[in-house]
Amino acid sequence: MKKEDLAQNMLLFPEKPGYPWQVLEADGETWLIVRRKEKVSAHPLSEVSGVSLKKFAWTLVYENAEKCFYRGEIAFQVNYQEMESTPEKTEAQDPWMEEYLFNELLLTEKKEEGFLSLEENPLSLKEENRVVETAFSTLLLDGAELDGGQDSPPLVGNKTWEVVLPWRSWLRGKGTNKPPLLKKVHVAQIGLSTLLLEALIKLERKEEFDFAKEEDPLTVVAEETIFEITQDSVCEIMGLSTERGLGKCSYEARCECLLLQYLKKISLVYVSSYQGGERLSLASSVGEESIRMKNCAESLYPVGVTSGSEQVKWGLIGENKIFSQSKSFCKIQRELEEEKGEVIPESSKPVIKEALPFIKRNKPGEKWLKKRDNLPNCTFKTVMTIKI
Amino acid sequence: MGMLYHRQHLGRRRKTPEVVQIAGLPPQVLQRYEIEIKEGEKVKKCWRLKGVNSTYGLWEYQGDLKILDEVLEWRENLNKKGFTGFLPLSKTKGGKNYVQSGQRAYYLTAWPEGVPFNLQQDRSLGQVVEALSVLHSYHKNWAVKKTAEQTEKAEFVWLKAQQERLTKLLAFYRYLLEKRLANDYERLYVESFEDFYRRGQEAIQKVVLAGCDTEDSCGKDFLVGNFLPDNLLETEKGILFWETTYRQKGLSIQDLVLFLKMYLPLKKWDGKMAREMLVRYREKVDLNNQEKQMFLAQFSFPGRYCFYAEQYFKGAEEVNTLSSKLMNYLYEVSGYDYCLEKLESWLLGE
Repeated sequence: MKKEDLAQNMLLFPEKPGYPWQVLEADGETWLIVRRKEKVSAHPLSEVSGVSLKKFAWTLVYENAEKCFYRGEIAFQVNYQEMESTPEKTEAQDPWMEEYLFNELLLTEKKEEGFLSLEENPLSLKEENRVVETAFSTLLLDGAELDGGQDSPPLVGNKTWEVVLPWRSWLRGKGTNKPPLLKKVHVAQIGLSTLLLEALIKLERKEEFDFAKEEDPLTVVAEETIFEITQDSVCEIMGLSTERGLGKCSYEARCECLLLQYLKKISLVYVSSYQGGERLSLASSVGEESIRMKNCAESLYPVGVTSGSEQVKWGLIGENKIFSQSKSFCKIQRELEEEKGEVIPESSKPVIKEALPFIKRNKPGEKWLKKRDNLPNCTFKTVMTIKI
Repeated sequence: MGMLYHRQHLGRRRKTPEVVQIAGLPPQVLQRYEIEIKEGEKVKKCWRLKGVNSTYGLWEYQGDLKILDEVLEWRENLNKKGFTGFLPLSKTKGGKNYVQSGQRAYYLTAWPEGVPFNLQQDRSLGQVVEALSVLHSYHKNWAVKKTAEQTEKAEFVWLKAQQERLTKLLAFYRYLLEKRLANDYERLYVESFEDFYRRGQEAIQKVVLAGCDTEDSCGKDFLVGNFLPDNLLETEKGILFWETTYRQKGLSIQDLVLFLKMYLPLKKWDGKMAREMLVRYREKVDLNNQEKQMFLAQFSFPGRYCFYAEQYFKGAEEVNTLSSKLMNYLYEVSGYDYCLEKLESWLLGE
């Protein structure tokens, strides 16, 4: 077993929140965010007073050694209150001035602020000034805090919003399945009378990897990474997942080792500090990973490569930096395992004995010349047009 | 003898008006008028000039002089007909309405006595409607002077501008849909956009359907366009509009709509009051069916919603302030709808 240490910095980019679901499928774990927003009333709301879990059920509808498929449903009851009367103006306002200015600018504004630039980026406001605390009420709860279907005592003026969110997802990985877990629930008022509910569910299926027991050539890379998240701020880290794909294996003659190259996507599952809108979020970064298997000096193309990651620990530095320690490993399978696979015996292997017959190519125009020979004698003249 | 001549000569020289230096005002401008000015000071957009017997206002204008020519001629005609809502113009020595100095022009008016407009008083609001009704009653019987450049009908210019604003709203909305909404303004905007876009489109459709297309179907001329408290003065003869070089032409009814949309929010969109204002207006101006439709269509256009959106996307005001303004506007909307509904059933149900 060879060990190599790496330290790096990476930028994470928040993904746009998806409706009605957003899924992160990684090796051994799947993170699922289910969301719904709905205009629940014709009147303005005053506050979100509570949320209770009414149902969290699932069925494992398919399973094999590599992956399984879940189908489930989660239901909540959100309690909220409507405003009894339209509130008085919250801030000094001059409606006469605003209506006047609109009318004034309607014909006098410069035309160069045209639609093309508008389509591309209509926002002159600086990005850092965009994020502002919300004035609306929000609730963020741990899955374990929810009361599991018990009806909360009815309050005077309380209204309810029943939310049923069906979900389904693949879970890749070997090992035993852990029961799906409701990790977080977030409810927020996002407008005068619109509510948002989002729930984070974790599915897990992992086998413990014992590095010491491995017989095949194994390279373990201990990584220390500092992630920096752009355009967001992290309140709580829920998970950090790694996906690898598009692997390529080559041999480096100079170092006499196998070189494995992957595209690696690291995704952070987190709770955003910014209140008001969607808070259960994913941020990711895609990069390349190269691992040199220095204990594989033979220049033989490997039969199989297994790679994976194990997060050791992580921590939040400030609001937008995450320190992570992880182990990435690569395992090489040199030969086929005959008893498991269908190895074709030497005698039955097809041998190509005959070369392909030589195909004679016609002379240019030969086909047409033959046709002309078959024509009866006539006085037609052939006109040829040559296009250049 | 020589001494006597000298005294007489000095006396004669004293009689010619002295040119007073007033900050920011080109000295040759005053020389073109038959007035003697003792002192002057800049008051907001004009100079207040104190003469021997009276006080004058000298106004600076920047822009197309052909339009100024036309506007001042319009004002002069209205004054001649007896309309007291505009300041009377003074002619230059050469009989012109203004003096040109470089890229700017200056015109002289009387300086009126009066009290500032009180926007909290219903009586003051009624006086403005009264003044507009008198003004528009003159427009009704007055063919619009067409300039050579005027190739497009005034109402279409406004329509196009309104449609452009709605298209901008749509572009903002689409832009936000691609992003994670970052503050209450964006969330309120996305929540309310479809409703307001529909309102805007319906208003434009109604304007088109109202079709003030025949020349005399609706009153058209220069608009007053400025009903800010600063521009209104309550005099003995009624309301006076200080500045009237708004330069835009349109349907006369637009002025009434603008005024009501500016001040009815202060009265919580009181439908009864809106109706009383319209009754007062119609004492002098008889609205035909097309004008009624036009009034309702223009009244329903969500101008302030568009204004807040532009302010936000330009970064012209703080996000929290705009969120709060938009929220208040959304709270107002039920009252606004109720008022519009009342006016509609009253005007069209007649």
